[in-house]
Amino acid sequence: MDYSDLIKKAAQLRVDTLTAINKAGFGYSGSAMSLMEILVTLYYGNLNNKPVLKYDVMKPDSADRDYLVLSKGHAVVSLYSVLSDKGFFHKSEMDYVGKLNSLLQAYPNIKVPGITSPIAYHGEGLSVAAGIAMSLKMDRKLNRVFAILGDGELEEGQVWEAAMSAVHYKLNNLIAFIDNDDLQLDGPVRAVMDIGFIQSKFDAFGWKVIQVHDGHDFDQLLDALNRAFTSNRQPVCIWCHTTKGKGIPFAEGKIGYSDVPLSDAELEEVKNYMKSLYE
Amino acid sequence: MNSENDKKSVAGGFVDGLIRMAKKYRNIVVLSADFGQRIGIEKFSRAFPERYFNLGLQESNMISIATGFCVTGKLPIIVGFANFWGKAYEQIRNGICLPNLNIKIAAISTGIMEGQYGVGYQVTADVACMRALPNMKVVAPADYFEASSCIETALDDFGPVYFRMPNVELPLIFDESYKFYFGKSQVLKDGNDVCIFAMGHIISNCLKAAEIFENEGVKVSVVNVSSIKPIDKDLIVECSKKSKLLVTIEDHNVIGGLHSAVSEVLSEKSPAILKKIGIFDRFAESSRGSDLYRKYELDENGIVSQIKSFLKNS
Repeated sequence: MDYSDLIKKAAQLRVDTLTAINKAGFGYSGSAMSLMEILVTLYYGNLNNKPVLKYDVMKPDSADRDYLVLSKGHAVVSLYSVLSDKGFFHKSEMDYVGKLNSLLQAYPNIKVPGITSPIAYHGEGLSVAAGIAMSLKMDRKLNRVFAILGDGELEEGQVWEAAMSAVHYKLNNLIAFIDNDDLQLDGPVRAVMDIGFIQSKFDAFGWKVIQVHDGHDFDQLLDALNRAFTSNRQPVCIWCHTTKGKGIPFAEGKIGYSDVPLSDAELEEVKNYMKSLYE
Repeated sequence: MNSENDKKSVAGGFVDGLIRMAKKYRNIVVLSADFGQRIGIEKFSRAFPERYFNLGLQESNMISIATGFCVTGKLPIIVGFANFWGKAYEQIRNGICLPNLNIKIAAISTGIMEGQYGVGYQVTADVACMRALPNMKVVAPADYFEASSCIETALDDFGPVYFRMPNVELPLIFDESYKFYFGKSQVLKDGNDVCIFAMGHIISNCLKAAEIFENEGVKVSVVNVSSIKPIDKDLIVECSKKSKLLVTIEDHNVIGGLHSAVSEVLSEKSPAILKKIGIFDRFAESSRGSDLYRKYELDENGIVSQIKSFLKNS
């Protein structure tokens, strides 16, 4: 997909995601928007004429697949939108996110085709990704492991245990995106618990850090991935500056929209706005 | 039955069983957190260096890393010292039990038997915590042979299992022919006056206590409840019907452990009075295990005197 197609795809997936969250009556609208371009880059982007993330819709458990660990599991509806768009499961499942007996639970679950790792709580994902990367290294396989972490999540001690062990085991097959949207539930990250300068923290642990100044720009994301793929011995942190609620004109950077669904009227407004982008 | 002098480490049995199974299942990997030397797992790391990972003192990270290993088709065995799981309870719940992954967890040096390391390393609430997790099985082998059979059965089976074992040499109760099954208990000694239900390493003390009683003309049966979850309901009900006094004995808090597990069965299927011997909802102190066992009446003499007082008051 070229740049304009990626933009259209992201807009369409935003509508799918917000619609599913609205139907569920529960969900993290703001958080689901900030990582959309990262997901679209991974699933739809091409680097050197090859897809960024390797997957097989017909064979979700294929041994050749790459792994994606959505440590920021509360934004899982965005991933569901991508997977249903790709055909991992039927689109109608999106009407029942987080409902009784539904396939699509509120957090990533490996029973869902295309979900490669279980996450039930923040702070655990980087460790799970490190475990996958260690296992792949042990088997001398070349598959990659991608993790997506929120910034509030970096307040968890376990993230830094994982950061330390990933360097100890030289996991250059591990790429962790930090979705740095500067907001968490109780307010700005800086005010709730200042995580400091992300770059120097990961640097100090021995990671290769690549900063993406606009985490919603596909060129910057693809360029960062291109550099990440050539890491020799280090795990790579792609530090993305993003905006909570990105794409929803009235919700961008607003804390109030972080963990609520949009109302029907708001959703309608967003749909009309987005459709002008992708139709 | 082996002679009184035959002693072997329970954790050693686990490691030996694991090494045997690692030859059969090539996807077994072992994760441990720094205490590998103390718990004797270095024997595995010598045999299979490429399948052994030391995560340092990162207990929570270690459990989540095991989740990562498991989703790529490995069979992770997590081996840790004492209370290590307490730092990672959430990770065990979310990353192992919730997705029902085939990961085994072994806590070595449980109870107060190795009390010299201090109260922080005494593990007396693990059965209560682990029993409450859906999908988790809980076992406490009583001797070397049971420990090695436990891990073999667990690896042939699917799903999370929690093992609790001491790392001390204990008298052998079983022999090589013993086979452990989930949800099966054995009557090690039969008698109709008192029935003791016990789990894990305290069984050998219970057997000694039963012998003391035998010399005094009181017939005591000892039931080895090594599989605490799932538990052998039929045997518990059967034993409860033929004995006058029922007692549970455990090196664990009396809340949530074996007493609770057996009570749950009896209250539903065969209501009876069930007495308890264990750690009475308190913390012990730093001391050698034998001294602690004497103080908290968990050695054979303490067990005898507690049961005698139950008999007197019944």
